Amino acid sequence: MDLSKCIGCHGCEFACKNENQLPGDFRHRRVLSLKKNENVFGFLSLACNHCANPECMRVCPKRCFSKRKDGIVVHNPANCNNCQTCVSACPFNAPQTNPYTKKVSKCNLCTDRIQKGLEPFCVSACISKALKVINLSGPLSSKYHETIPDFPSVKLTKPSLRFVLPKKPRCSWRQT
Amino acid sequence: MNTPTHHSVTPNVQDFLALEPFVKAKIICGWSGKHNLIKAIFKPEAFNNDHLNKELIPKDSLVTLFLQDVPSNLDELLPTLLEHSLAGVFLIGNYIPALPSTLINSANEKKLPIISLDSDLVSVDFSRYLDLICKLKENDTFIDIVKNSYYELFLQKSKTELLDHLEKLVNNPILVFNKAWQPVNWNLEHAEIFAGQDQKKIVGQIIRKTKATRINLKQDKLTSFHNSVTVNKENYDYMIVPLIFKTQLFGHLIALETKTEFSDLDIVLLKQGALVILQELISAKKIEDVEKKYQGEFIYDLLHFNFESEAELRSRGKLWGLDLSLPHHLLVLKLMSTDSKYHNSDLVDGLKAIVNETISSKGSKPVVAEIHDTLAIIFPVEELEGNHKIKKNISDLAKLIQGKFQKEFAKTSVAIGIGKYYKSITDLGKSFQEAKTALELSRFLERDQHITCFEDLGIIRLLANISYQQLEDYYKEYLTALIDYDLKNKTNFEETLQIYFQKNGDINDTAEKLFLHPNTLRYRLKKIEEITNSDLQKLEDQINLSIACKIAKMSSQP
Repeated sequence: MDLSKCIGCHGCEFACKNENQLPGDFRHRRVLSLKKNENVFGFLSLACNHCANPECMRVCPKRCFSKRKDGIVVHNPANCNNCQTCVSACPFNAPQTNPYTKKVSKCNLCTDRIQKGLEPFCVSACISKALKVINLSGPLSSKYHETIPDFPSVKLTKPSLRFVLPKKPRCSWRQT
Repeated sequence: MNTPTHHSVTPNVQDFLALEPFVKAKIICGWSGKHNLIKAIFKPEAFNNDHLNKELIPKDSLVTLFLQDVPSNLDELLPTLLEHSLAGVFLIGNYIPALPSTLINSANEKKLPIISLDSDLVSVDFSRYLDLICKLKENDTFIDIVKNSYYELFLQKSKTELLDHLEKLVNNPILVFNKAWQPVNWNLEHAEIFAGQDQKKIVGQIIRKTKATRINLKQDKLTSFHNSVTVNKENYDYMIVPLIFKTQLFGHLIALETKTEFSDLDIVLLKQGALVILQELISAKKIEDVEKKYQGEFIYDLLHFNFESEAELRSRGKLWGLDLSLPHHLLVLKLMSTDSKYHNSDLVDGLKAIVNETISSKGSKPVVAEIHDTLAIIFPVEELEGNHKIKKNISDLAKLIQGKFQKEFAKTSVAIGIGKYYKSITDLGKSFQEAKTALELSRFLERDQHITCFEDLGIIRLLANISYQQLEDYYKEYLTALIDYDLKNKTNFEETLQIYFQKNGDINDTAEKLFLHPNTLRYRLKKIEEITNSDLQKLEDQINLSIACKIAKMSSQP
């Protein structure tokens, strides 16, 4: 997630909603405003972070969650009884109850498209190229950060999400 | 009779069998006499006892018998020959009969080699052959020529045949160890030879000495060497050959010099044999890597719920020799501070060997899988009444593994996380996630041992899920005044409070830890109550301050 590029257009949000035929206001991906003292200084597009230690997978009594070898955490609704345990366990509020199916649902990183070698819809739909899928198994550039201020704790779940921090605004009329 | 023409060197029996066509000869008995010098080759003209007694067989000669010429009463003729002072007896023919045990024992006692060659040769120009050996030895090219013939000989043998043959030729016991200093399983029969207490001590001493010598050497600089160890005030010489391919160490070959002294040819034999053994180890490693990869994928699926049903898991487990109908438990291990003198792969291999040995000694067969930067160990457990008993057993096992590892690799430690016990194999993934959580959060607990059970995490588990800003706000609310006071007055009241809670509010223990008198501590605590506007006798204040202290400690660690 490149915070310096996101313009808050909600394109990723609607691409995901459209592709997955999500009803009403139910979303897998949400675009949030980053605020400081009531001033919006940026935007954050957030969905399931496919954590290395997914709490949802650990707490689900019906074993509805599994983690593929490529790291994608997948929810299988077949056995889901909407107990909401995963909803309260996830620090990022990723699994939510679908009001139509009455079962929990979340982002699965468009596994069908991934298998065909395509990018997830949110990434393809991002007009500013703020969203990108990267490989975390190799060495990473120092521009990627594991967390940002006010983000939920990443110590336990280790989300597979990296941020590029927004650039410091330049002031052209004041000498620094 | 064939006598070598005058040369400055005299070949011995071992030299005689070093080149084609005799390199494939089989040693029947008496090989302790392999260094017997051959002064002549003698082929008897007639084969009866009277004739052999009367005929002058030259001293220190190698008697050759072409068996198509020899009558069937060989086992009556050989004892007559053994009465002479010979270098050896060489039997050549298509069918070599079995010799009686009395004859074999007699030859062993007299150190008289009896060798056979399965061949249809009817005559050989032995004098030319001996001349060739002498000339090669005089020119110092004998060893180079011999290397090739020995190497080709060993290539034709299976793993166990190879070791047997090498031991026979060298006439000393040989053991092959893998990288983690465990005897390789096709050598286990020989390992039993070393099961005697003295032999075990000798081998143990050799391994310790080798490790100590090599710790500072890079792997590509390791060379074979001849050395000795002292056990029970006695010196034991040995030869050690490291098995290295492309700077990667695969193991070691150790030959003990217990029966006969190593000659130059023996050293060549060991090195050439070691090359072939190395090839076997490399092939075995390749197969093991492929197996590990597929087994690793199965274990990943098991621990990340990538399966349809328990039945599917059990049938897949059977392919790997796992009985998943039994209750299983799991440990997650992670290497901590490591001494730079060890390669990371050596530490991981060493840890795996220790885990396998420790758990196997308890009667279970563990499965070890590397998942990202941790080792997951899965093993069957005995179902006991009460989870606390299972927890205690697993904790004891973890302590044992940790202790052995720290003894083996000083200045390096391993952290162990233990999840909850679940009866069903389908819940092993939960135990795995819990163990990882325990491992991750163990650094926030006040423990020296680095063995953490998920059930012992307590409130740290909840705190780890709360954002850093919220936590910071919370602990600053309770501790800012105290921290500021410490900065201003150069006191350590915050530390005092931390230790007070660590010692469960025990005044005496806390005072001892801080090297204070209990009354001084009481005064300090009174002061802390004033500064923080709290009452340490009230449970609610205790809880709030205790949590604030825990958060302060978590925040101070990365």
